[in-house]
Amino acid sequence: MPGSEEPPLRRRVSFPVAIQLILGLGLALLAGVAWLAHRNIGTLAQSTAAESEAVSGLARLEAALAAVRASQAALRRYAISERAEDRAAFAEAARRAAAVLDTLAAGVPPGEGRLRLSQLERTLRERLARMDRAAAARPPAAPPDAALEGESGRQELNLRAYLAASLQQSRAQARSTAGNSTFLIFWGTALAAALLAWAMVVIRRYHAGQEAAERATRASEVRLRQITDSVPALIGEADREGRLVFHNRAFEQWFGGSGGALPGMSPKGRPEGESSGAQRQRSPINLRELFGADAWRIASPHVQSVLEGRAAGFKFSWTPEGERAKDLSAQLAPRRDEWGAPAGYYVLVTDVSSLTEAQRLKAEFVSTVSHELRTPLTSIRGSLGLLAGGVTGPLPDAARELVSIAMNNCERLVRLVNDILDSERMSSGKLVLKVEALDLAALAARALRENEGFARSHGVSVTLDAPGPAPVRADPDRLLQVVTNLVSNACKFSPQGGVVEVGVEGGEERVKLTVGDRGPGIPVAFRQRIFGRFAQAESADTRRSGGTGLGLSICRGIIERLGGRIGFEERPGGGTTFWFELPSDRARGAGDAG
Amino acid sequence: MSEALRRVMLVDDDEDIRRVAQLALEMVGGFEVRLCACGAEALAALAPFRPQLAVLDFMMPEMDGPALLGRLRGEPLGTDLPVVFLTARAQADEVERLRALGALGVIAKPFDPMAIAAELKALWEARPARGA
Repeated sequence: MPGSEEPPLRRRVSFPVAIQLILGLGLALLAGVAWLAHRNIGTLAQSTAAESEAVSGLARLEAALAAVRASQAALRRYAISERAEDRAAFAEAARRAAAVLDTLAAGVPPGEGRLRLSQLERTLRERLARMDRAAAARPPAAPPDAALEGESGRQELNLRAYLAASLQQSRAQARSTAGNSTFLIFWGTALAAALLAWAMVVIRRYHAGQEAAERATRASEVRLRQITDSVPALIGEADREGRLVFHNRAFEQWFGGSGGALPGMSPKGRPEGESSGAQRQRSPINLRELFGADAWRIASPHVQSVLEGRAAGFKFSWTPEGERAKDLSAQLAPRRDEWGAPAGYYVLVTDVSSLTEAQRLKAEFVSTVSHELRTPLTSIRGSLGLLAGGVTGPLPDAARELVSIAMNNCERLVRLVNDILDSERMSSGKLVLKVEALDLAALAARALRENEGFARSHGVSVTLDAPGPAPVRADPDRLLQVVTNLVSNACKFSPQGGVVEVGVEGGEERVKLTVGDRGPGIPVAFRQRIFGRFAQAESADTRRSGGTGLGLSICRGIIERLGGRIGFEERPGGGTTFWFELPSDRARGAGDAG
Repeated sequence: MSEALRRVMLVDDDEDIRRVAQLALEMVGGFEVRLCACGAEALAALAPFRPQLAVLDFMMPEMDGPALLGRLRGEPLGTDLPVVFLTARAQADEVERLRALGALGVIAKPFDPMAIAAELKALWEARPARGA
């Protein structure tokens, strides 16, 4: 599921960035092309102006030269005829030429062209001035002015060449500008179009991805809904006030009655035109109202704890209308908002009625069987006890031995029944402990006294090393049971003539009791399960031990219920030391320890 | 207190247990024993036998030990009668409960036949003095 959800998520993040980049690039490109076009059109206009200026310069040059030539021709005619009218014609031609020369450099921007035009203008004016002087002479003479004419002709040629060159240059520039513009505009536009097309493809793919992700989300929602609806337990999500934000179908089956509608969902409260699915998502039902005040009283400390961010589990009982009470097991898990603060909780409520009923039946069965076994055992044990006690007269040796065997096995059967009952109480949590302040050292001494006979029958002696009082809070009968069990185990597994060493240490924090033997030790394969139920090492000595296989598991149960630890270790030099530790009661003072 | 324990009434629905207990109490303890199979019989035997101590089985059909104790307390001869329970349920809390009902003591089944008479004597000696 996470694998199929990740790719759309990644695309959702990266696609808009890509699209924005591409669109931005395309727009920048278009703007660049527009700016280039604008600039090139300006350049083209400039080229055209330069061209027309050169053309008009040429025209004015022709006009000026023509006017000067006309003045010269009129002067020659006057020099030959010396007639007043020819003199007037010359004066008129010279005046026109001067007027044309006035306009020669007008409007031409400063630069090389204007410089050359002014040079030519000066030369031509000089020629006109000489012509004037020749016309004023008596007799008038046509000026044989070859040098000045040569100068003006050279300047004219220069100017023509210059104007032609600048004309050509501006035309070439215009051509190249136009060529560049065409290239830039064409390719720029093409590139921008390509980018926009790509952007469209990317956007289309992005939408397709989003649609796929939405479909996947919807499919996963449906799947989740189907899963939660098929679970035969209440699954819900509640906000901080206990209102259900989400609930599965089981809620409707449990609380909805025949109609299937939950109590909080009255028809008038149902928004118009809303599908039942959406309604189920936003039902305003409160868990407190569903289960009632009694159940809520049990639940509220756990709800408090889950709202502080700790998962909680508890059991409670709930009676549906007109039905038998149900034993329910609830699990609460915190739901956090995006900042990690608890925003509500998830609820899982399972009907464990059949389970608790089975447990109850088993406990009842074990209890009944144990009690029923005790009745015949009482008669058997009583009869044997009276026989062995000689109440009915002395018994022959063989008969006494047989009665003794029968009695031992009867005792063993009684122990087994007691152990089974204890073990059952332990596992069902029904073992009642009467905890009081006591001295473990004194209790150990009592256990030793009570087991003296047992130890002697195994040819074993038991010693006690208890340097001082060891105050604890414990159930004296149950703790005595533990010590007796450890001591009798040690006796059973000790070699003939061996010593079982019992030690009691009263520390500040903990008190510890140790029972050391010199027996064969505990087989490695058995060490893991020695404290389990019906655990007995498989060995040739099993018969000798005569145990039920429940003793150590009961010991562990009692010690752990009293807040302690139990264990064993190999003893240096052979044998085993069993030990248990309990919290010391020294804080309350050793004075009231009994 | 000075009076020695002599007459003991034993109520148990199991015939074999009754017999074993009778032998133990008579032959080991030297008591005079009256056996009853049920509560009704015990109530009927109260006046003719005038027991000093009653030993009641905890679990019996029809009228169980605690119920019989309640009935005995309603009889003139049973008001102050010391009662010891014989029970196969000897868990600490149950013993507590029986003591709270007014039992002098609780003896667990199966009992030691050689020791039961001495146990009853010890309980009898240690019984609280009745305001009379």
